[in-house]
Formats: sequence, C-alpha cells, structure tokens
Amino acid sequence: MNRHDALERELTAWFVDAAMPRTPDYTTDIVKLTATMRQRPRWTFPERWVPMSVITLARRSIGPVPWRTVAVFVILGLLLATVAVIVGSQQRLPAPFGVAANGLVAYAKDGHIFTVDPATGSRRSISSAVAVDERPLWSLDGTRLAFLRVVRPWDMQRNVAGVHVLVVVDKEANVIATSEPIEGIDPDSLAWSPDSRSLIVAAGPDPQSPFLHKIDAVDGAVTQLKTGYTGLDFYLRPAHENQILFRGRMPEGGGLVVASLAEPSGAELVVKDTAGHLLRPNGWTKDGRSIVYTRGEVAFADEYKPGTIRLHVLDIETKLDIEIEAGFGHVSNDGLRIVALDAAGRPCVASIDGGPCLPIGEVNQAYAGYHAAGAYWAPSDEWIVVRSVGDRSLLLDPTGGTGEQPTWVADGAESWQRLAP
Amino acid sequence: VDQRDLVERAGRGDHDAFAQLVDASIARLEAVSRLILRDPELARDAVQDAYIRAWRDLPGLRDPERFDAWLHRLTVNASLDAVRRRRRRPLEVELTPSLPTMFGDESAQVGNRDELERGFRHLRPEQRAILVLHYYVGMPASAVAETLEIPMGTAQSRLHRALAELRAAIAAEARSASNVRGEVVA
Repeated sequence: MNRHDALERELTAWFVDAAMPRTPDYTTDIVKLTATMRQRPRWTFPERWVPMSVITLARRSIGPVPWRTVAVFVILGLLLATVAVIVGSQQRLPAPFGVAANGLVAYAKDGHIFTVDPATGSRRSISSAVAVDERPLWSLDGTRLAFLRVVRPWDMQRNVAGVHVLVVVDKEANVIATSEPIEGIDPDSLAWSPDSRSLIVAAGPDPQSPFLHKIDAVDGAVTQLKTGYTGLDFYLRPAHENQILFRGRMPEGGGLVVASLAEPSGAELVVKDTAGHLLRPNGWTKDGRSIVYTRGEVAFADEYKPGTIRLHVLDIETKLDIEIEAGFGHVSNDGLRIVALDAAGRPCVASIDGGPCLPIGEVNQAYAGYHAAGAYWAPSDEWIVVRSVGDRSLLLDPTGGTGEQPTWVADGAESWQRLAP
Repeated sequence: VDQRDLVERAGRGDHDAFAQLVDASIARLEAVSRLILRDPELARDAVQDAYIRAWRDLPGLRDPERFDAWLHRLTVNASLDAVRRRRRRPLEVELTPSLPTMFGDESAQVGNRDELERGFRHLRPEQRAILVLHYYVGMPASAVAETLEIPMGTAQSRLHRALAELRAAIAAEARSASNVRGEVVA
C-alpha cells in the first residue's frame, strides 16, 4: 500500500462523510417551480434531427474549446514570430574562409573608391572628393571596407617613400577608423585578420625591407610586429587563429615564414630561400595544413626565368610536397582547386591534389605582378577574376570559355565583398 | 419504477414523472454540488438551476440511458456557473466534525483530514468537480469524460493532475502547520 492509495481512500471516505446526502428541504420548491414552466418543444433540439452516431462522433471529436491551450499556442506563436523577426533582422555573416555569396565589388578609379553591384552595374562613391584613395579591401566578413588615403605621395625623383593613412568604413560608408600615418606602405601587402578587427601591412622607409605592421580597425593604432624579418605578401592562416604566412627576409637569409600575430618573435622559417631561386607565397589550403607557394629560377632581380616556375602545395607538418607545373596560384574558396598561370602564361585551373593545370584563358589575360598571382576567385567560386597586362579586369569561367568584361573599370586591384551564402 | 420509462415520460411533458426523477436524484446531486462548492447556499442555487434546465431540455435527450450522466453534467455546470457568478463572495466553510485521521503510512505524515479539507479548498472548482465525480459518485474515467463531454485522455490527465495538486496542497498545509507549531515551541 502506498501513500497514493491512502490519499485516494481517505478522499473517498471524507467525501462520504462530508456529503451526508439528504433530501433537501427545497425539493418541493423545485418541483413546484418546474411545474409552472413549459418544456422546449422537441423539434427545437438539433439532436432530434441528427443521427445518434453523428452526435456521438461529434461529442468525441469536438469537445469544449480549450481556450487555455489556444492561448498558450497563440503566445508561443507570437514569441516565435518575434524571435523570427529579431533573427531575420540580424545580419548573417560569412565565415572568414570558405565559399560565400558574391557581394559588391570595391575598386579605385582616379583616386576615388567606388562600390559596384556586379549584377546590375549600380555604383556608389565611397570616399571624399578631395583626397586621393587607393587599394580598397573588404574585410573577410564583408562588413568593413578598408582603403589607403595618400597623405604624402611617393617622391620618385628623390626616392622618398610616401605616407598613407588607412581608412576603415562600414557598408554605409561611415568612417569607423582612420589610422596613424604610415610611411612606405606596400599597398599590395594589405590583408585583413580573420576576425575583421585588424589589418596587416608591410611598411617602412626602405621599400626593399618593409616591416610587418598591425593596424587596429577600430582605434587606428599601428603596431610594428617584431618577427625578426622584413616581409611581404601576407596570407592569414585558416583554422589557426592569428597565424600568418609571408615572404620574409633577414640579413642571414630568408624564405617563407609562418608567424603568430600574438607572439611574432616566434616566427618560423618553413621554406628557405636558395641561391638562384625566387620564392613567393600564394596562400593556404582551406584546412590551414598546407601552404601554397611559387618557386622558380631567377632571371633578373625579382623576375622569374620563363618555364622554370612551379607551384607547390606543402604540408608544413608532414612536409608532403605536391608540385604543379604552373605558378602564382590562388586557392579557390571551396579549397579544391587552384587558379594559376601555366608555363605559357595562360590562366589555368589545377586540382589542389596535383595533376595538370588546365588552361581556361589566353596568354596575357592574367598578369603575375599582382598579389603574387594575376588571378583570384570570386567569393562564390563562380568566377575567376584576372587582371591583364593592360590592367583591365576580366571574369573567367573556371571551367573555361571566352570570359566576360566586368561592369567596372578599376585602377589597380579590386576587392569582392563576401556575404553569407 | 423503471428510470428509463420515467425519463421518456418526463421528456414527453409528464411532470409527475419528472418529480419522481427529482426525488430519486436530488440528494446525490445536492451532495455533489455541496462537495464541489463547499457552500450550501451556492449548492442550493446550483441544484435548482440544474433541475430547471433538466425539465426544460429533457425533450432533447434522445438516449434515456444517458440521463444520469446528463443530469450530473447539468449539476456540475450549474455549480461552476454559480462559482463564476459569485466569484467575489468568499466561500463559506461547512465544517464536518471528524476525528483527525491519518491515511497511509503514519510515519509519512501525509496529514490529517483537516489538512485534506484545506488542501481540497485550494483546488479550482473544475478540479474539485472531477475528483467528486470520480471518488464520490464513483464514475470511472470514461464516465467522467462522458459527463463532462471531454475526451477520455483529457479526463484521465485532469484527474491525475487534480490529485497531484491536492497532494501538493496537503503537503503545503502540513508544512505550514509544522512551522506554526515550531514557532510556538520556540
């Protein structure tokens, strides 16, 4: 016997004791009262006209309206709708690496920054009319746009480095930050950190020996990163917070260097320069395990000897090295392909796992001088953007074709905004 | 006298037959209403309303076998209506003299009959009604469902919930009484 049984038994007993059924003294009153009343005519009851089975079914299936339940569901529905509105109004952001949707293209023209919708051609001026601005670069989450503003131009006659400030604006072109003046910036070295809070740039009075600098995208503070190397060509490492690949130099030699932005002094030389060869980093594989770089025999200064360039995909842990007969590669956002230049100078696409690099364009459609590669992928991987020797952009289909002229004409490299897929 | 015959005759306007049905059922229905309402005056009004409606609507009752369930439904509904009409008036307490009785395992100290009654008063009238129909009238859950015109599962869950809330109310009463005793001793 349990407590539950005891309660039910006691409840029954108490009901019996408390009820004390008796014929109440108002029984006669009820009888007299009802005797004076007329019954409702039988035909006024719907039950008399409807089959009993239907009535029984209706009783079982309909029942009273559960207003409390209805109210709960209404409240839940309103809450869900509210949450949906809040979530829907919040901006979804793309991951810093991987495939994203194509947004606006930012580019510089005649000293001004513009954004253009590649689909419609609708454009907007971002920078002021009086300043000279260049090298726009979208943050990896697509929420901010950075560009360089010339404070003092490069004095070619006296070989004096120029001075820039970095301007960061939001999507509405509101200025978020303006950096301290920086001397001798290499515009093509500009790179956003994965968290979109800072940028890395190479800068210094001697353009042959620039130092790494970190620029805070909120307060504009500039900090030199003491890696022990001068550096160029920066690539943030996917899946590894704050790590960067760059081409580093120091008096006793250099090569490809991996450094932590948090602890730059612990920079590691992963591929050494060798006499008579040139090295240029081209990026990371999607998982951040392997670096992609170009190596070739030097012809003159920083020029490669034609036909000697090779693309390498090197696992920096296992040292497994895949060699591809091409150079100046750029890994697709899905991490599966590399666009590069073949030995004849044509844009080509190879698998990240190696094999031939299949041409998708013509000679001189891509120029090897930009960003260590003359071609890069649109955020969606739908297009490959190449910059020709004549400095004109062209959109190539990764699977081949004649290509399309874009809706913009830029001075220098453009930047394609990443949006949530 | 066959109740079915009386119901059929009353349904055809025979008031004497209806008077016999009243005599045969009013003690039980008055007790049901009193247990639900815990107020004899309200119960009187509710029972009177129930019989007036029964007399007027009896011609609409197609199945005489369902008369008892139908009459109980009218009584429960009239009782709940009475509560709604006089919500602001405090319910009067009808004290039934009884000796303190332990139920179940005494060591569990579930409480005595006073605590049971006070716990019962904490329940909503709808919950009291379902307990009265099941534990006083003796209706199985299926009959409770038919009487209240709710699905069987709903009747079972409401019955279970009413009992659980009664148990919680009794426990709260017991704790309250224990605290009072503790304060007095201190």
